[in-house]
Amino acid sequence: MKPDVLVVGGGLIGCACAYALAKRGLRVTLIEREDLGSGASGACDGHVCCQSKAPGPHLDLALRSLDLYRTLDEQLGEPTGFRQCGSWLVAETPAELTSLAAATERLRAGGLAVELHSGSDARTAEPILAEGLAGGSFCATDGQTDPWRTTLAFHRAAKRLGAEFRLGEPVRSLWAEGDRVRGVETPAGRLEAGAVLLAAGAWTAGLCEPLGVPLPVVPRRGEILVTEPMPPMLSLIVLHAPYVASKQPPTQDRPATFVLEQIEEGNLLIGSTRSYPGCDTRNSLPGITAIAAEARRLAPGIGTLSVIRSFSGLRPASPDGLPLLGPVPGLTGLFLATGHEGDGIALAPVTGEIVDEGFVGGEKAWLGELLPGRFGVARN
Amino acid sequence: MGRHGRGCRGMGGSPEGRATGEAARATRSRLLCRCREVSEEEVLQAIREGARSLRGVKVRTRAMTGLRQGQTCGPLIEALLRRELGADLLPHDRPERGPVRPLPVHVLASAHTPPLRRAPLSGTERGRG
Repeated sequence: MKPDVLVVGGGLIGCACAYALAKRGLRVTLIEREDLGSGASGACDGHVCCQSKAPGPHLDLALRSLDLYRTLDEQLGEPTGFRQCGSWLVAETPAELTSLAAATERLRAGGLAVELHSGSDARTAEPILAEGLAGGSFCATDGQTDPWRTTLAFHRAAKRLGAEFRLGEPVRSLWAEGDRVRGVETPAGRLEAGAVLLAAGAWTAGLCEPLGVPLPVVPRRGEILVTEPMPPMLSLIVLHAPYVASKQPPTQDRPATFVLEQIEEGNLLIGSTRSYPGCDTRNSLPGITAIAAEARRLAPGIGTLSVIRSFSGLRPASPDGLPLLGPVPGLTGLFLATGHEGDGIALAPVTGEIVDEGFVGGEKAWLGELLPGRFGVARN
Repeated sequence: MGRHGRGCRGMGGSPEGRATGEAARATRSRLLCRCREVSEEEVLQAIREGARSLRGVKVRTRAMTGLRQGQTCGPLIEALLRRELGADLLPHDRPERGPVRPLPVHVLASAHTPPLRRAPLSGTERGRG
């Protein structure tokens, strides 16, 4: 039977959307060319961090999503690995602290509870941090989740609600007739659907292009190191303050910026780089050594830990750092849920909610600041 | 399961995939991934849940993510996948990831060029071969 919505992409965003739409009672099919979490959702950290967001729509989205994370285990019926551990954003130099203090003020005005502390406070809280840091901001409500488990939990919950998952099945192209998208073309033939929702991350633009719809979403590679598993040695997520500034502007390579978390299995994840090598998901020697150098300087306490692996993922980066959620102007039946860049994990639950509201409430229910049309995206 | 409660132990398969009882204990005794303590039965359950690649097993069971990074269990799991799936096994086309052996953070950091802060060379250092 023809699904109401065909979701393309089995990452966390696609699974969260499939869940939200199936919960609404829509007939949902999700199609994924490899397997669940094969793209960015399977190659990232698990930060659910609000203090790294810009006040305004970005912070508002992150706060809404955080609220949903709080009750997600219960809603999905299994643990996602989410915990509200808190976060530190640390400033190394007085100049960094000045910008951090200003950012903290703006976040407080935007409704987030963050406190500015001295460098020694940060080191007292997390002894693996370096001595002599200029300061840090602490946000008690931030958290971390397990991206693999969260993806699987959304998938299983959606499946229980009747969603169909077609894994290992690539979408060759969108199937359009005139200005109507009727479904997708796969090697096995055509799949017809009431609507197609593209949640294919960095690969979304490639699906839209043949229809004459250029998307301003580019793959941004982020590299991360994994250490050997350790007993608990870090209770919060830690980010170096320039991480926030390094998000903009997109398309510009940045040196590594230090971010750190310890996952449930005990491994530490050390990030991360930002580069734009197209669809190349290999790790680079300059990338992984730069991450290690930043880590050794800012958290000497982890210098002797062994790195057992590196990985990298492609984040779908949009020009303003916000996702593209909603219909594509000029085409009936085509919707987008992509462009989350490095925020796909943090924003997945709210993305599902917004997509659900949009599908149920129609044109007016989508959020204007997230509509693909804001970049002039439309069929040429 | 508490945080870090099982040391190196992974999350295993899905809750419903957990084997229980006498027969299950027998199958669970055959561990494929020793680092994360993932049994053959858990891998089979992952395949029943839709895994069609090494990657799919990894995401569902955490096998191959331990200290040895699948160097021992990877081929065993691949053989099991091949036996169960035959032609449905998806090709493994993911890039190799370093380091091949565990390497301390500070060693990797020392390989970073140019160094973030290069101290001026002293006379004795300049003299070294």
